Amino acid sequence: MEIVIYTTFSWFVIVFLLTHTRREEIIRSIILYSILSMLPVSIFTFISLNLKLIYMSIDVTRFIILLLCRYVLIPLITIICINFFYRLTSYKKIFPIIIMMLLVTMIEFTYIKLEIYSYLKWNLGFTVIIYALIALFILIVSKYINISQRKERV
Amino acid sequence: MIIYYDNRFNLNELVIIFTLIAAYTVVFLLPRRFPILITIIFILYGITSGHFTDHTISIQPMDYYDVNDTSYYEVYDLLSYLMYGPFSYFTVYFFDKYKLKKQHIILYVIAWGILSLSFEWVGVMIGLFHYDKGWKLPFSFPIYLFFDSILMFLYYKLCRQDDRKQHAK
Repeated sequence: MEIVIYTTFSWFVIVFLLTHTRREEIIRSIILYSILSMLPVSIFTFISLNLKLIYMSIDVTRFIILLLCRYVLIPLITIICINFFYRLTSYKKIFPIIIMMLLVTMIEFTYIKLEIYSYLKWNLGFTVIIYALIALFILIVSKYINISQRKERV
Repeated sequence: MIIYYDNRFNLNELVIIFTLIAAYTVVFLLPRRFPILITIIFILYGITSGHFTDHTISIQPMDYYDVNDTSYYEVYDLLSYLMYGPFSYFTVYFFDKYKLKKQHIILYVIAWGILSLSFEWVGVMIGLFHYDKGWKLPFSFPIYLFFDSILMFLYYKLCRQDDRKQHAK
């Protein structure tokens, strides 16, 4: 049943991104997707495989859910929020970032509830800090992409 | 299960470093054909696809093969993903340079698939990949075809679309 919920949610996020991305946001979204599909995965693989702070389930269904979250939900939700971050002005910019952090934390929370991850010497707070740092990094990268896009007119 | 294949700095690490330096030097020396952001996308595409494949089928529960000296995630694993970047760039670079048409994509992708498989065979020989958990070299061929086809689609979306607009003007 969980896999149906995750697949449906993934479908929703994909369609939302495809229908709500403006032409000028496509290049930035592709670059951000590459970074977002590698950076968190590398960090959490290192934490679980090398440091053994997190135990990853070896159940295939749970692994598929993990893949959906790693390669669809988390990167695409972040991209959607970053796109809205640049569309909104002044104090409103903070809302997409808060929503992104909440959604990503919720996804991480479901990992524990569904036993995709078991925290050995880890807790949700560390994960939130890591995602906050990744979000900061992504915002900096996006800024440079926007500058380059304006310079090169692509 | 964690396996240690060796723990010395030897041929596989040397080949990774040499290939990285040589391939990225060629990328910088080749005359520029795409805007810098598009070039970055093509390079990142190769890195991302290599990373995705390894983090899907070479970790548990799949765990069909290992990369480099141990089953752990090493710095050289990360460097080996960077090696894929220039090759995806070369794939679109030469397609664009020789002005190949859509009809040529199938043969072109097959040719790159065979070339990639040859590089992978060298990788197996030097201990970059360890296929003793069930993976076999021919299994990689459809994966190359799949990722190279998406790359060509991306190329058409990002580059040839602009060409069409310029022609229309």
